[in-house]
Amino acid sequence: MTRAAEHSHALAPAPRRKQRRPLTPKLKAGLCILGIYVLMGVFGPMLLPFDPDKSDILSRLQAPSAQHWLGTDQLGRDFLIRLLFAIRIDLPVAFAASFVPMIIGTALGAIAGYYGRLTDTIVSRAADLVQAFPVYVFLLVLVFAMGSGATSFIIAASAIAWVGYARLTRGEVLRLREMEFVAAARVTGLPESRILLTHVLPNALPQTVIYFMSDVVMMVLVLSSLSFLGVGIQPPTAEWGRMIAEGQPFLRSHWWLAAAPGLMVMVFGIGLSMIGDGLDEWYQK
Amino acid sequence: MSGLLDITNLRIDLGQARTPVSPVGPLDLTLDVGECLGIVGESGSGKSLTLKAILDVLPEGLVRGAGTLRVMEQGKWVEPAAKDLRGRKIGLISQEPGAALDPLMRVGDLIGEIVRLHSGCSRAESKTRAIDLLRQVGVPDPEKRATFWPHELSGGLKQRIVISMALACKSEILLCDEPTTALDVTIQAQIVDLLRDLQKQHGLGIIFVTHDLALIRQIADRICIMYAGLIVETGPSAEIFKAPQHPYTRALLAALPDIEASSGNLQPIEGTPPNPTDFSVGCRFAARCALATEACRAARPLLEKTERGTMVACFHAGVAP
Amino acid sequence: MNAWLKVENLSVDFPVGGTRRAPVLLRALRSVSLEVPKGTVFGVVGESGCGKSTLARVLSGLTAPTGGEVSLEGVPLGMHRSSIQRRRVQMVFQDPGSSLNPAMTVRTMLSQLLRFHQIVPKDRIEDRCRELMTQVNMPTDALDRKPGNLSGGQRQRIAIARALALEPEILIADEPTAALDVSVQASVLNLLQGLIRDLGMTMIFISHDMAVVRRICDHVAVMYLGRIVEIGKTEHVFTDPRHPYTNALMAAVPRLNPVPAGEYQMLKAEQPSPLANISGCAFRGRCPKAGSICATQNPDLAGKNQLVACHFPKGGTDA
Repeated sequence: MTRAAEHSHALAPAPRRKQRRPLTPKLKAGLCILGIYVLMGVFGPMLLPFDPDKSDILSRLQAPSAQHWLGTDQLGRDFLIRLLFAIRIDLPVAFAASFVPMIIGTALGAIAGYYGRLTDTIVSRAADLVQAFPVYVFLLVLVFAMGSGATSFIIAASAIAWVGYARLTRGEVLRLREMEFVAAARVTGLPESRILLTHVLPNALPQTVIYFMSDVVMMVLVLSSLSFLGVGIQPPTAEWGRMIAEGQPFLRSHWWLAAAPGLMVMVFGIGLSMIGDGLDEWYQK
Repeated sequence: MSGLLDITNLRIDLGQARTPVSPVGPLDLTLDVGECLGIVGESGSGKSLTLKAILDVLPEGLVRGAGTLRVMEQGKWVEPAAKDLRGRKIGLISQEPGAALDPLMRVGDLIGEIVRLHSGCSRAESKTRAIDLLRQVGVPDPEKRATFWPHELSGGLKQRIVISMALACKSEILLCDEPTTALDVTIQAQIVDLLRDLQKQHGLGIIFVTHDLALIRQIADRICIMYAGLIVETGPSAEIFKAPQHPYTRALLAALPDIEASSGNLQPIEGTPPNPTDFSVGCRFAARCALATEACRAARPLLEKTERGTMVACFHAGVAP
Repeated sequence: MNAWLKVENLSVDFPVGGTRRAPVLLRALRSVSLEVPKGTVFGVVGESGCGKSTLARVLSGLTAPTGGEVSLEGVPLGMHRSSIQRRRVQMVFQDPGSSLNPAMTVRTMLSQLLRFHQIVPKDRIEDRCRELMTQVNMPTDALDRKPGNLSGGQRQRIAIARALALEPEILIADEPTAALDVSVQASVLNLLQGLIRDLGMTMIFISHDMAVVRRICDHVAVMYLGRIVEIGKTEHVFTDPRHPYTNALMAAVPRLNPVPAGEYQMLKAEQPSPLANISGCAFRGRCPKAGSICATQNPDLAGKNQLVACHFPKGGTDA
């Protein structure tokens, strides 16, 4: 047998299709919603000639008009600009409050799942401990102890939310650890830490990203709830949950003061859920 | 020999494709009483789908697009619905015998239940019949094995149990979908022996699907070679192995290591089989065929009789490569 | 045979249940010894549960032996090896679908190894990746692919390229073609044979397929329930099997030209559980020749060139 007689194997045209898989409709819709929110948050307030925090008691509770498209609130501030300004608070805070625990949880879960033994025991017990408390009580205690505000909210949320990421990643890593490509990487002599980082974790990340999306939704809701209760973002800063609380007394006469921020939260939640679902479909394609 | 099963023009279509796509067919199959028909092909050739289409258990997204399926019933050809065939006239032996066995029933009860269903006999009688059946399929110590749970049995024994269940259904046709692929070679030999015995004793008609040419040589009386959803060569097994006519059949044999030979070149087949969505109007093997000409790419050759009693779908059938 | 790669009294037990004090052990390898001369292809055949894959995993340093030792040129090869020792022994797995990281392109995978082991200078990594593709008969644009976009045969070529990247002396191939179609199998076998010859590597070829083993191996060991029952030159073992189990394996292999009746003997029963504690010869329950001595005494491998572990070998031993 001569080597020349052997043919070079042309790659099948079939899998060539598209190296980049097309986005699913759900993913597209979700990304659109997120994009619109970001655009509204960045540029919206610039287009309106109002100060969102400056009150003007004389023009309070005005109905929608050519000047104030959504009217004014109980302190006479333009309602639309407050609604848009809140994006600048709610989105970054919610993302940060999901991102920080994602990093912490993924790292802890990966180490626990891959190395097992003592690390696993410690991480798992710590996770059990956190989960044993009712979430809101725990959050309220933490925020109360550190004082209200965005930073303390992010710290408090991270202290709780890492558990979900850690459990998820630990499970994925436990599964992936037994896969043959990990054994193959060991045979090539790569150190364990590098195998974990370059071979195991990248395969666990899709699940994490999907979870992250639903977690951001969760965090917007939690932030709004805390603000509603008065321990989240402090006035006069515009924040949806706070705005719902402030609009509550005027539900009968000015229903939109509570409904509009609620709607903002809801649509945002739907958008992110669609991104999460869409990513799931997209990965599985 | 008398006919048992007759399939004409069978086609399997992709469910919701905009332009019609048929991964398998059209193809014709016949099976006689006491005959073993072997269907051999590589993965993706549609050999397993063909079996599934007969019983109408195609995977999601695939439908039987066309074709008539007739079986011999008391001397007359009838065209029954697939659901009336499953578990009655036709039994299925799959690659994974575990899937066919209810994990929550003891082996004896599994078979006994089928016996009762088909003969309406009493519980006690069905038990002895079940043990009888186990003995027939060569299960050692059948009284004891009847009390086992499926998970307590080895792959070979599980496969025997599935075969005995088909016997309990009084099936006349056994569809075997790679029944020995998951088994060791010594156990495979035992199962093949068993199937041959049953074929002779009960006049069972067997359709045996496998990727293993040497195995099909051992068991089948007649074989079909499938490529990309079509039968490219069919006829008596001995004839085809003696003088294969289709370039694909020849290529397969040239690629197969034989236990008798320790040297000589193995000839791989270049390229890969086409995807169903890329099927051309011409011969589907043309892209990988050394003999292919313009004619092969322009039109698809149909199965035609040769003087050896086989049928070949090739414009260059019999031409030495 | 001159000892180059040496396996001595290798045993591997896996605890599969029981208590910590009295564990139930699966004895995957029971005192296996063999020697592989440099530059040859050594085959290991046997059915599932015979321990051949465990042997491959011990040789490649994935599983720690319970007893015994593997040594290369007199230097022991345990589970913890230096990266230089790791490079000397590489492995190709059975299913390239699971032995390649689905999230990594071929280029990333290969260059990671080339960089980590400093096999070529940094500016030569890309060239070396391309060379490796040529060596395994793949077009260079496969480097940008992830395994999901390659066919089974192509994936196995990539897996072979990964092994070659480390320039090993020993290539362990654990059923490298079992997951492939016969037409593709031929090309992968040809590739392996060509590489072994051109690069002067030694190959340990694990397989259940007797026909494939016969074609590419110089020496072969037949295993049954964790033990070697027959070992010798492939040609001798396959044309003149002395152990009744080898004989039965030969009988069971489907062949294109049917053999005359009576040449080989079929087996009746099935392989006992590897958990069972069997006194004497493990094969006696299925053996047509078993006598009373087989129940009490486990036969040792005996013979000069073709060693066989049987009290009643066909034609006696060649010692």
